[in-house]
Amino acid sequence: MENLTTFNDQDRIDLHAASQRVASPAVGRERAIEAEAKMLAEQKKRTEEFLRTEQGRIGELGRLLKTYRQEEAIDALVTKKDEFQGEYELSA
Amino acid sequence: MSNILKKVLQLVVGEPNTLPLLTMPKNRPLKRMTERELLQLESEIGATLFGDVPAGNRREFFCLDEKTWIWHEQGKNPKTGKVEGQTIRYEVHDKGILKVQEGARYSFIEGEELRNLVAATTMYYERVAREIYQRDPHTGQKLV
Repeated sequence: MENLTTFNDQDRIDLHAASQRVASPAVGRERAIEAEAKMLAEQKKRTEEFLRTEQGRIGELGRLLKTYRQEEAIDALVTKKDEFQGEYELSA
Repeated sequence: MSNILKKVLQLVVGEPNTLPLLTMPKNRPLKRMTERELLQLESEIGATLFGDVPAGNRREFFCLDEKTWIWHEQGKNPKTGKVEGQTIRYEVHDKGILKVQEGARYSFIEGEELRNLVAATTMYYERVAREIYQRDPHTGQKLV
């Protein structure tokens, strides 16, 4: 008679093998897109709220000024200085 | 160029201060300038936003970068006869505008002081955008 109380090799619990069989939880593609859109909308809302504050307005003015300055400045524009030497030469 | 602007520019740009004093060019197109020269022009406009500067005094007000505005005024103390200066740095933080003064004094500004700074920075932006960068301050587009 077969002894049902004795574990044999087939009864061993192989934890490593078990972990390989279990797939990681994954959300569907639609849900991932939805979550990303939600995150972007929240980010946009936070940015808009910040820009309505005084510090947001001052920060935005500073950002624009820095952009204009960098677009105008020769040391920000010119990478090959010699190539543009004549065009950008400053008067004394 | 005042000492404070020189120091700030030196920290930012890291170049020696050998530039001649610049004046606002009339009938632009503006000659191509470096960032520090442009910053100096901006500061000349910034200094005029708060009314006349008393004779012998020097004032600077400029936007150093998107998170920092600098105000500096220097003049002779009538009581002591010594030249004294005051520098204030305004830092843009998520929760407000931090006013940093000498002597490790920090405070978030509010009320009228905050409204005044908003007005000053707005005027600065509008004039600098038009007069230096030839841009419409509202659209950012180049003025023809």
